[in-house]
Amino acid sequence: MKPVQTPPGYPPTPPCVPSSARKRPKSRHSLRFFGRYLQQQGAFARYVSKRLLTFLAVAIIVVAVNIIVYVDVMLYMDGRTGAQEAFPTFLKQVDGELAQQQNGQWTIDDQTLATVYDRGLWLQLVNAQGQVIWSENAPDELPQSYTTTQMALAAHAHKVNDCPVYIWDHGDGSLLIMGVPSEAYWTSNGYIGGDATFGIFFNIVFIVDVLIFVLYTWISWRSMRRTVGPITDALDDLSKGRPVSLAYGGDLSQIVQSVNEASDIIRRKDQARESWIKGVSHDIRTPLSMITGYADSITHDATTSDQSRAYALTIRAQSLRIKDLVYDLNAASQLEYDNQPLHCEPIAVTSLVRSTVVEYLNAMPEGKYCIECQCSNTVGDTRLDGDVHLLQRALHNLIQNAINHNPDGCTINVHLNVAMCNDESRENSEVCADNKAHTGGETCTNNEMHSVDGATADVTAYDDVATAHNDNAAPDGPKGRCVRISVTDDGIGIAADDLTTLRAKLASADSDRLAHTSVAEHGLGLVLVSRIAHAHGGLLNVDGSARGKAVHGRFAATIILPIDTSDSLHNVSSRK
Amino acid sequence: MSRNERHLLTKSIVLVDDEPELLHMVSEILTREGFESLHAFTSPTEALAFCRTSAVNNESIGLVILDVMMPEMDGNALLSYIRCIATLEHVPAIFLTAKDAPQDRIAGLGLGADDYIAKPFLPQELVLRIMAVLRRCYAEDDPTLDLGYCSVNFDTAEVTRPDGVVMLTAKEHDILRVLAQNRGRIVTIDALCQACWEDSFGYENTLMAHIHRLREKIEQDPAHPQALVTVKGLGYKLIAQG
Repeated sequence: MKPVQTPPGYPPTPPCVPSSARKRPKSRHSLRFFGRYLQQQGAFARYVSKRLLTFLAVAIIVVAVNIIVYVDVMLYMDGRTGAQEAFPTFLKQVDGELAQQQNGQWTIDDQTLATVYDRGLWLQLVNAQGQVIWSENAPDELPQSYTTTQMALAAHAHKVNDCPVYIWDHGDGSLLIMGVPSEAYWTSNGYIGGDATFGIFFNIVFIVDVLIFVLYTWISWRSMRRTVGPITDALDDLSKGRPVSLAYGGDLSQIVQSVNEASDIIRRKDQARESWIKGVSHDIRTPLSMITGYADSITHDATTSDQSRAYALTIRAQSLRIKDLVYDLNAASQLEYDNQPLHCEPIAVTSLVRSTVVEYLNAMPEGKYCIECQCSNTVGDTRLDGDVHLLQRALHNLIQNAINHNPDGCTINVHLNVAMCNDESRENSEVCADNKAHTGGETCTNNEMHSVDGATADVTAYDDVATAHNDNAAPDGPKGRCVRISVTDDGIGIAADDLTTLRAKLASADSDRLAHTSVAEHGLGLVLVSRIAHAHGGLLNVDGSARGKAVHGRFAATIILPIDTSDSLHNVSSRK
Repeated sequence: MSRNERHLLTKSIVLVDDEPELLHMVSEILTREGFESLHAFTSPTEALAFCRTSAVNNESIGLVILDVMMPEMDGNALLSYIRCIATLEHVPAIFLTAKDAPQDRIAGLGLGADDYIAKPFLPQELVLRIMAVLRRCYAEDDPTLDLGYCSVNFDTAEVTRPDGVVMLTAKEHDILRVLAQNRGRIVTIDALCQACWEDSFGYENTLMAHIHRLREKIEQDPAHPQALVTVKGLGYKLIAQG
């Protein structure tokens, strides 16, 4: 197959060609083709090729450096060896200067003598009989006479008493011996000296090579981090559903482009889904208005029979449920697909809770449900950074949940307070819960009072219940000062098994994206509340007990929201 | 509907919604409640033309109820045009809309709409809110409030009781006015404080003291209030008479 000519940055073959048919020309003899070859490769192959080339270049540099170092060391060592070769020359000079004076004393030039002492050399003149007849600077342990054997060995090993020596024929059968300090001695055959040269050479080369590779590794690690780091971060974000936008450029620009495109596709799909949900929920409202309105009209019509009125009431109640679902769906879609899910502003929590409850009471016909609201003194003018709309929705859902589960009516208690919500208070509350079982919660109130910043806690029986039970918080729950909004009803309550199931459901809904949870199976209500609490850095706790023969049932749902939310909100804004 | 609110029912109301069925239903609800002058339009341009004609003929329009999303012209634009008509500069307006995102609400109220009712709504809620807007905007027409036991004149701040006349203080007047405008509905403590002191926090106890004195003036038995009732922990409500 002919190589397909494609502009750079595109796959070499059209997508319609099956991958098995993609064969690249095998022979590439000339370097001229190499550039083009790289262009036709994918970005990653190009990136890897570039890495390999760099590695090759570094290897070549290493070899070159090694050669240079070797040559340098050799030259330096030659210099050193030259110095050693000065010893025989010096000995020859001594030999020439050495002369017997008339008084029988042997002398050499003063300057030469000074050199002998300076360099730590010693000299001996041995006559034909082996007697030392003159010596200069000779250590005491040196023999004063040499046998023929000793002299032969000394001449062979260039050593006397382990001291390196040079020997010179002075004429007349006498020999001139010059000892040199062993560290300065290099034998003429270079054996000892050669060993040391190679040792130094290897040490230097090793250090230089290691330096080069450390440098190379460091540089390539850094450049790798620069090019690949943002991409892996972006992929991480993508997998969590966050949109990404990477800056173009660098070796991997094609991959960057692909990641950006993927993000764009996800964003567009999310947008489409969001606008679809918005559209549907918008279009459903007008027909729903009419269903609700006419059903309501029928119930108010005096001529309606009791049975028809009952039907109409059911239609009205169910259409109001649909209305709730539509609102929930909108809020859920806002949390799920909106890139900035929270329109945060400081909210006065007391006002928020009161207005939400009042809205409910104003819209609700008097009757089966009694809604009470208590705002603890601890709240004061506490403000919370949050999304009013969503928080209202959350509270609304909790109240609606109580109503939905208690068609026969119940008392719904909405309670708001502010408390510390750290490890210590959790511990206290656990003690509370235990104590409460035995002593009716006296201890609990005391503990609660310690934990609310010196403010006086509302000492009501309800307070005990609210705080004792809402603190089986998850370990990653909010810390510090928290707003707790709890909605408790005394209706049918909840069985222990159902409570466990509900908690599991809420936990799974929090960890997954909402889209993964089965809305059809569970309904959105409490799941949405939990999501809203999480979006504000808080959580939803549920607790309760089933109705017994003599006791009321109880179901309590508590939203715990941290007040100092700058961190947690930030996390959420950038989308988990 | 109390006797002194009858005049509100005579206000002419313009309804605009592109859904004829919904328009029909709302008209029916309002007619049933006793509103006498209803003008329903499915087309914004027709509604605008009607408003202009009325202005020319010197016929007053009491309230405009608009949908937001309409094909020819959206509700926001229509309201702006209507408010451009000289005599209708301050006509009260209520948006009746399927859009209830916070930003839509803010946009609507920013244009000077008096209320924003999201579909779907209960007829009862619609009527209460229309009445609240009308009361707020046409309070001057009839400054008296009939509480059964006594009656209050907001212009003179006088409470006429069977045993004589007492005066309201400025704050009592303000509080009672807010409650009267929202008659039949609970007004939260925060909303009352906001209306009277322009601050929702720190005035709760003061408010309680004012309410206490107010009850001594308007209730037959202040210990067992019949007209101005407390909704514990939430706010106060002026019971609707009639």
